[in-house]
Amino acid sequence: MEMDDRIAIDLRAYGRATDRAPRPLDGIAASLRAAAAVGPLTRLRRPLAVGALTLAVLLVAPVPYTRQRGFDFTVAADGTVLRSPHLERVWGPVYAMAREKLFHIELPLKDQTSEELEREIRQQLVAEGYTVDNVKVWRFAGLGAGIHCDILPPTTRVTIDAHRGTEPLHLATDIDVGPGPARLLVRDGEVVSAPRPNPFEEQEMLIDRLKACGVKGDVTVDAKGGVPIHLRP
Amino acid sequence: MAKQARADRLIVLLGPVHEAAQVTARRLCRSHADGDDLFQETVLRALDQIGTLRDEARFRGWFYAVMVSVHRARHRRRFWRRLLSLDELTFEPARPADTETWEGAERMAQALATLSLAAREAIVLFELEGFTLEELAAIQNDSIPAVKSRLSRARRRLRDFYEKLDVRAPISLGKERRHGNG
Repeated sequence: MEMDDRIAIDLRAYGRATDRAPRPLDGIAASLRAAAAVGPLTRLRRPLAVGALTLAVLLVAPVPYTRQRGFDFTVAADGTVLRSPHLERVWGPVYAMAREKLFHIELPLKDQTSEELEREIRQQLVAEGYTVDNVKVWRFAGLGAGIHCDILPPTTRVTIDAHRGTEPLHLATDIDVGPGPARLLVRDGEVVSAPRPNPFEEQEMLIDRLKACGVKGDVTVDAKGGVPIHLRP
Repeated sequence: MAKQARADRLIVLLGPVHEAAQVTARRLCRSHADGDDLFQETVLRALDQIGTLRDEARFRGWFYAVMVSVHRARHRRRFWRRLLSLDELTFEPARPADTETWEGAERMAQALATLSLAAREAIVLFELEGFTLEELAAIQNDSIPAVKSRLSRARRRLRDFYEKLDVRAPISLGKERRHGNG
């Protein structure tokens, strides 16, 4: 038997052996109508496209969030100074919100010992207003660096030296920057509770001292009733 | 056009061709399950693209062109299947067959599995489904000379396969022959 004849016979045999459709048209029609009902995004394998689209919308769409713009200080009549974060409600894209919440630490990994890296991290965290309790750097050959930081809530030390008439005024405390106002007590060795002879002069003095402590920006004084001081970076 | 209306239109057009198309899908693939998947995916792709079909009289060729496109996309996604040994190929007849038909069909299934994707498409569509060279060229999106050349190479490859099997002798497709061929 010639080879081409054998091939032709086998092709026909293959055709006969496979010549049966597995599904009737009704079944195909039902799947088609179901597919048309759910739409292309859910029917087709496009989870990646849906995820990317959602992420893009989330990043670009404006959302409301609260950000801190400096601090509000209030000096009560008894000499107590209340400090609270000056917050404002704004709308912006998610990436802008994330940028407000984050700061960057840049580490020169090359040719740096672990101790030098720890020192660098500590300095940058301190510069951002954090009190750093512990910094440890582990380094693994060829695998980059592992970094572990224990960070306490940001704390600001405020020291004010002034005079009330001939009486010395000394104010010193640490302020935890967190939710709610921080409370400063005016001390002269002990708590000073005498009424201020000239509240306006004391305000000016307080503002100058706050500026000396590194609080930068414009200062506005509202002398009505209490003594709110608005500081803006 | 609303999606449901497009689905209804496709169902009507599929009426005369769906059985042959399902069979073709199975013949193009190495297993019935793959063939059924290919047909299902082709139908869904056709639903998306039915708006591009201008002449309904040409639906059969258009649908097969969609099937060939889907077939090649699936092949690219599942490239590892090209590495499967012929011994792993299990022929499943769609209907009961006598021994000679079964053996001939299984041998042809193995021979087709040795062909390239486009060559297998060409043999199946031209020899089994009865498409003309012009229709085959349109379905494979190639020129007629290219399709002729592909068919010629595919037949030569089939002949080589059969010569190695020495099937002019009484046919017996035992494992020992497959092993004997390396």
